[in-house]
Amino acid sequence: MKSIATAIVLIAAFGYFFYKVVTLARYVLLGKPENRFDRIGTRAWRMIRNAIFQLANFKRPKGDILYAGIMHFLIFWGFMILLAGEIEILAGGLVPGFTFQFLGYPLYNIFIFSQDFMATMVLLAIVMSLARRFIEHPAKLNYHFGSYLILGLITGLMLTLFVMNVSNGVNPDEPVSHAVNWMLFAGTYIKLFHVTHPLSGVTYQVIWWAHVLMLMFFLDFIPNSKHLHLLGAIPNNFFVNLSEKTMQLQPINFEAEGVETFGVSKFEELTWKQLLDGAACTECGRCTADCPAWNTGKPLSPREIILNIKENMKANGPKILKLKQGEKLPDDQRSALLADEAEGEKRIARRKESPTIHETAVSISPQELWACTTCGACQEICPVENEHIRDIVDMRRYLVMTESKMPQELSATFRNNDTNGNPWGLGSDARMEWAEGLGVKTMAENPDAEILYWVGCAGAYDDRNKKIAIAFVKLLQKANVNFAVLGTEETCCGDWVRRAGNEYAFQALAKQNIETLNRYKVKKIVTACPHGYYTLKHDYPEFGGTYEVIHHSQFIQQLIKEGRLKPVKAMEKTVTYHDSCYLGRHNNIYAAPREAVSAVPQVRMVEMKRSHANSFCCGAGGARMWLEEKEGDRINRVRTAEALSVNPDVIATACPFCMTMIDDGVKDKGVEDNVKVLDIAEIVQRSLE
Amino acid sequence: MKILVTVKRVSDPEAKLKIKPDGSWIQTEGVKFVVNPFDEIAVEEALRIKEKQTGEVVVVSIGDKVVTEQIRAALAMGGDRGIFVNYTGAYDSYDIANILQKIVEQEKPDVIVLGKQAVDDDMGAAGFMLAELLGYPQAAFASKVEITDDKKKARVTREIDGGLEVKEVELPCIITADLRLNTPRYASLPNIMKAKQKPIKEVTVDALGVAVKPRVTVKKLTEPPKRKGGVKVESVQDLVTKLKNEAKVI
Repeated sequence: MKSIATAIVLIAAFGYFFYKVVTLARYVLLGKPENRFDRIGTRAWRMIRNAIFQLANFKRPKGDILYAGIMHFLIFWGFMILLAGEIEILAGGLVPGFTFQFLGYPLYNIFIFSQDFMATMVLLAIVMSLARRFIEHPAKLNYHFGSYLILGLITGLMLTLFVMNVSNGVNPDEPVSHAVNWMLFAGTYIKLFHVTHPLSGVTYQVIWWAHVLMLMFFLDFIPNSKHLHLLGAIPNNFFVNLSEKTMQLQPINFEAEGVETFGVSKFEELTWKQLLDGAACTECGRCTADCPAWNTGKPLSPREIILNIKENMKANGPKILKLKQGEKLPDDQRSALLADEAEGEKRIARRKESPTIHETAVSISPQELWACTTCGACQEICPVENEHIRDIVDMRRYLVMTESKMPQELSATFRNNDTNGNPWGLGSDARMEWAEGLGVKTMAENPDAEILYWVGCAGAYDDRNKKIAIAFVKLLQKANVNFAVLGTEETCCGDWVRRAGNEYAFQALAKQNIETLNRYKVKKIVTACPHGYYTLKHDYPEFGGTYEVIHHSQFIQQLIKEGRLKPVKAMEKTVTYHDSCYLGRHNNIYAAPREAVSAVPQVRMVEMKRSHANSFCCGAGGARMWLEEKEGDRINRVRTAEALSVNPDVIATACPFCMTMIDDGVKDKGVEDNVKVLDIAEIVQRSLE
Repeated sequence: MKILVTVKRVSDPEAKLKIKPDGSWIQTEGVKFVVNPFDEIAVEEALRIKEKQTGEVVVVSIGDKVVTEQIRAALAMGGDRGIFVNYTGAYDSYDIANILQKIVEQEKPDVIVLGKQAVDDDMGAAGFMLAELLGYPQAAFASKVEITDDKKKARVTREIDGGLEVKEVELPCIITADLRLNTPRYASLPNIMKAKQKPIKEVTVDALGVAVKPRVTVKKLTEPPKRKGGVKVESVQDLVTKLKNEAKVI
């Protein structure tokens, strides 16, 4: 009887589970193709390291992340090890009397030990989890019913397991009783409470069935909850973005025939990897907790970007699967992925009211998309390697290119850039004016230059940043570097244009610059702008421009190391360095700017609370430089306050956008007479003889 | 509702212009040309009227073949068709008004929107002259335009010294666009592609029956005098003396 009942329960539960999983997999496979199958060995290792060794949960092993990491480690390994015991239990239900006893006693003893030990460890983790949820109560967590249901199920599973272990431990008919001394916790319980009699047959069966039914319910709950990450997270660590190109924005082929829309407005226009991200998401909220937009009161929550895509996929998936291939679902019959501005306003209002509770929806509003600075904090901390930025840029692409829906100030900036090749909209013929009287040669005048100095729009047009360009040129001249600039042949590199979703204009700019650079056979480029650095280094190769690109912080540090620059004049100042997102998180350059500043005699370097990979954005990336910041607090004010809290004399930057934002922040606080914002090139240049 | 809108090809306002050695005109080599910014605002307003009322936006430009670039730019924003008046000689505002009068008589638009002035010569006269020639009511320097529900009138807000003036004009009418009327849209990619297929009708002034006889001609262009460097004064007394004796302002 029990065998048949068990078999029915198992077939039903596993049948439903596989049906749901296969259905979800079919939705994910509706996504566009993307090659994430190269470098299999590296991928496999990343998966083992991050998932099996659980390093994914210890990316920043401090405070809550460390606590949650330990908790997750216990639950993960608890379930891996308890899986063996569950197989024994289920097999025992199907074949009466089945046990792993046949393994022989030394091995069986170890098995019994592991089951008892890990069940208790999982219970410990549950207590840790409840303490975290009720006492620490982190704002980043979702406090919905599903989370508590899962915790309740795990507790139930572990308690029933423990009761069965105790009962079996004193039941001479059960093989466990021979290994009772191996059960650290159940064994101690037996001794402590003098348990001598096993449970009655009926009670034991009731507990056994409770355990099995909870286990099967848990199994079926997995594909319907955030526990889908049990299936998605490990593959996502395998399909991780291995390239240095952190944003992985895919070029659009504008020559393709019959394409009428550009960018993403439907879930199936994303790649399968972008859809898999939703299945991997554990809703841990670390992305949102680190997001500069969310933290300053904007409606954007990177977690909700990933989750809302997943929900949209689940809402539209069944309809799309039903349709024959090639056929399209009428837009009015699907749940839109892109919400309108009115919906965005509602979300802004909601964000103001309840800063801790996020609600998932099937759509994403333009206000959420435009709030992103592309700083990469979300991706950096995500334990399951989700890639939020490209989802956001893909949808921005649709808004900008297909719909021409964007904040007014952005359309004005695009126009400026289209006409004059710089976002300030100043005359393209004025691009060399900053260099007047400095004796800077252009590539046309010095075709044998070893190094091309990419000045960038900020260095050429922005008054504050012109001074940095001048300081850097003086450094290069002091070190006798044979360099040249493109002069008026240089045009906007296209960084912010691409991040803003205007791929069409970006490609035009990239192609124009690459044509110029290749005409002069440029090999080595140095730039003071991390955004230009990223674009030239990681985006241009897609369009036939491959160069050795060096950031000026690296170059200055190298020149100091080689003795070509000798900072000798002391600067008795406290300096704190603000990490640029595009230099740090997006390019892993943390040491060079710090070393360059430290080379100045008597400088005292202090670190801000958030620095290096955990640095907080200035607010200007991802075209935010050109957009008004209407909601909440200004990101640059928050960051400047953090910098000022370490009492610096100088805030050092290595990015023109950061310079503008932090400089504005310092002026906003009215402390510009006491605290200077300087680029690392200026700091080193002032120290030269 | 049919809306006629004009676009003028002008040198990029941000470009540093150089004058030809003979002073007859600017040097055009290496200079970018764009749609006159006030005309872009006019196009945007025409499109907004069309989107509310349904109808057609017709874009007109006068000049040699290159001005079709500017017509295409307006079509990419959403204009429906273009009229290119092929005329390469010199003309003044009155000639423009004469040409536009003929086109209006052919097209019979309900609303005619022009930029308040072109940023190259800053004449700002064509709109007024056109209204006079046609005998249409006009609302110049508009900062807000509403078409009344009965579609018979336009309610136009104008920025005047010290306040706003709201005018109601009967259709057909002439509206000239001021800076704060709107922010022109950025053309979407599908619209840029569609614009390539949109019709542009080419006409000549002869076919329109207009004899171009400019009554205003440019005699000579000169650059503004170069600013001389300032001097630092040693003391307030020094400054007062200089202001008195050299600048003679106090």
